[in-house]
Amino acid sequence: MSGPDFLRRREALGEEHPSQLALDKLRLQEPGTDVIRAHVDGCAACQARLQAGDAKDVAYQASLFVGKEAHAVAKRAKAWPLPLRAAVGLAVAAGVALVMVPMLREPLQKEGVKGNSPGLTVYRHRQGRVEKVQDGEVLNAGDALRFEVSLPNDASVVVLGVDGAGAVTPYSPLAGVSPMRGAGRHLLPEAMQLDAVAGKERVLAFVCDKPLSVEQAKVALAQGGEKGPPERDGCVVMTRHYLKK
Amino acid sequence: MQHDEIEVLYRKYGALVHRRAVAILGDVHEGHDVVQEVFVNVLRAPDTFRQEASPVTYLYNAATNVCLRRLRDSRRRGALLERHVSKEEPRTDGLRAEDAVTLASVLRDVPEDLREIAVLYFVDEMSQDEIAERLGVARRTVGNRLEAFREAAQKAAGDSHERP
Repeated sequence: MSGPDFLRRREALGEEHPSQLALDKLRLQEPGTDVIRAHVDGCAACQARLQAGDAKDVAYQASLFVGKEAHAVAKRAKAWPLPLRAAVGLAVAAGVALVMVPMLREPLQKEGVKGNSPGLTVYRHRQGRVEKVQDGEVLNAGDALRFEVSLPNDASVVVLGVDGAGAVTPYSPLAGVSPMRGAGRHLLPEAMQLDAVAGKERVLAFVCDKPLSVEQAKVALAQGGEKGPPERDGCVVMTRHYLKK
Repeated sequence: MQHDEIEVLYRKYGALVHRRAVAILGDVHEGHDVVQEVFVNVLRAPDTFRQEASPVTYLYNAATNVCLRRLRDSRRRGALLERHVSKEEPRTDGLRAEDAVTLASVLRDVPEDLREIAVLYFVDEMSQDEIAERLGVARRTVGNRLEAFREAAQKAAGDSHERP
């Protein structure tokens, strides 16, 4: 079948598997899901569907924790030496507030940008704790990551992940063209959970003075190979290296 | 509804609503907005929610309604997402991010009577029989509308590829 991939994916799934609604009822342990459980236990495709949903849910929960923590870090830099764990505890205690407060969209603070170079901060959510991740650190499968960029000028930002096998995953945005963002610090809205593939992991943030798409960033990455993407007019690329186990 | 009750609900179901909204709208930001709107609606009519035999079904429907309304609104505003379709092999582990962006752009363009069926089939991955039963229409009607949606999606993909 020609046309968009989602058509082919849906046709490939067929008609005999439980719907996503049924899988969510199973995931959330609603009564009357014994038949669904029996199907999933014998169906590798449905187990993969369940796991894919689980990973997205974990990343979403982590993004809320990290978003709260990034605000706390920004405030703490001035006057509030609150330990990281306590800040996360506050985020947990403020569960309803997390739902009701507007999600982060605006720059955290413009004065957070130093000099004329963009910056990249990576946050990790692991077992209820949120920490900044330093270049070269060891990451675990299941860690959820979120990214903050500091921009001296208006820019479009694309973040890609490259695993040890060379597989490229868009981290932000998930697809399409990244919008222009104003000068200042921005916590990017997407969060992702690391899979179980061990090895080296690279995170690359493309910061460009014109709108950049995920596809353009992937092409630039492919052109550069192991050395990284070639220099491109109007773009800066920041790279972080990690070891995933 | 008590403070701790809505907190428990949010903790249990918030991710589900967000995942579903992103799958339909193809946008993480809008997904957060949908989560807020759905739970605000639950707060406004807590008894309706409590009486539901299946909270998951209730929240699925609530999220669908909010998302379809947002698609209608965005179409009126003429807002369209960029289309960038990846060419990897088919997988069956749920709607991928690229797919969600593409699907959302097609959903914005198609007539309203195709949208809900397309969401039920491509996002919820319901069978055509399940959709017919849920909407109270003939299976043939479901098949015809899905075919019309497929044609619209293929045309949209063709238009996208023809662009410079």
